[in-house]
Amino acid sequence: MIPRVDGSSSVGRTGSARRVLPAVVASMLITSLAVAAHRPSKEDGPAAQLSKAPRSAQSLQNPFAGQSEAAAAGHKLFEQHCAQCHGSDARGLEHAADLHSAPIRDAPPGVLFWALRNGRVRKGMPSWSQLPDQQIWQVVTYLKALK
Amino acid sequence: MATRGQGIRRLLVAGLAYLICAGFPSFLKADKPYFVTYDAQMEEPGNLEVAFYPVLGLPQTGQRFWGAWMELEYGAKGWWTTEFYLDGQSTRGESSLFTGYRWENRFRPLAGQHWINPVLYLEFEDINGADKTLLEVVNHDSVNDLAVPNHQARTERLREVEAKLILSSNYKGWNISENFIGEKNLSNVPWEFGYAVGVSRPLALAASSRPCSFCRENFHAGVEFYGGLGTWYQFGFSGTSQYVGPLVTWELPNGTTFKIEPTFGLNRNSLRALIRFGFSYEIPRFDRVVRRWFR
Repeated sequence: MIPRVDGSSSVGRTGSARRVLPAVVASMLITSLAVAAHRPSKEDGPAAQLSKAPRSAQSLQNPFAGQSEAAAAGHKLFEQHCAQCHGSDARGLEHAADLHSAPIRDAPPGVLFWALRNGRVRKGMPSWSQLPDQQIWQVVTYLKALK
Repeated sequence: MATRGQGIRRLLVAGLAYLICAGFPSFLKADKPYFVTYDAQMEEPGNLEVAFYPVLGLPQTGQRFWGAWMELEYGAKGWWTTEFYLDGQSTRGESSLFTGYRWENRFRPLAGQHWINPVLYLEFEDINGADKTLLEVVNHDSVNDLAVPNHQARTERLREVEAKLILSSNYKGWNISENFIGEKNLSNVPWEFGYAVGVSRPLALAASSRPCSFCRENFHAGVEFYGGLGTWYQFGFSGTSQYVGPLVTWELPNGTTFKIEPTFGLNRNSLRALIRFGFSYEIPRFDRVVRRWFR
């Protein structure tokens, strides 16, 4: 047995190894289960989501409307937060919506703001409420500038 | 020949260097701003976040220690985030050891945004008494518990379930989060309670148009309070330990997030000071990566 600083022996080390092994196995099992559980949800289409916006959202004014600087900042934020699902060109990947589509292009800015802030958690679209309102408006400005 | 403790330290340094230097793509999401308090932010579906959190303990009596946990956080669904933790610690003049693991799940019951957004949290942990991560403070946990030598403390096995009610609000760039904690040892021990409260805000609300590391919007500042609330039979602040910690978070454009929080004990039962560090990065759409492996 190898004496150790804390007075324990290599038996303690073996005991530690015995506890590490189940932990590693459990981590693999949990990761597998979680990955298996995740299936990208079928998108009902952006029109369905946007139609749920309250009337009050339609009248919200974008404080950055038409500002190219805000659109550039929105593009940067889009790359950081949105492009992994919607693609760098915003055309949509897998089940995520094409952000060039007519329902999004024609939606009032306030409705897009509402959609970003609330997300669609059950369908896989996260809520971006942790972003300050200004940054959400910058993303809306970018979406409105998409050609 | 390197001792076991040196080996662990080298491994930690190598891990940190990897996190800092890894050239991950820029489309990565911000980590949660706090160390102990949870907000309502869920992991994005399919994303995997890998994080490492060392904590330096500076007790008024007894030996200094490093506690650390490694965290794997996965977004299983938009409403379900699952996390797995591996805990360890190293106490000066004693030893370094693995102290156990935790598996936690967070569920978001309500869709959409509300003034107060609730999240339900459920965790199982299998750790030993030498654990010094101080991931939460409950019951009458005190600095004396941390002074027990490792070779004694490690013999105590703690199999516990922990439930939290997480309430979180976002208002004008501020995040305000409150956690109510209930923990139950699976042996015949009463429920133990604790709390955590955090407030934070980015230094700038609007983003700049150019990519930058030192833009103000990349920094969050805040403060969190946490402590014990006694047990089912002795509920209250009496005899509990309480902490306050100002914190700063820095998100680099390459997706790596750094956090630091000097924490101070507010009464005699608390540690004099703790310094918490955090490093994390996120692997976007990890589910796609895994599916590619099995194709």
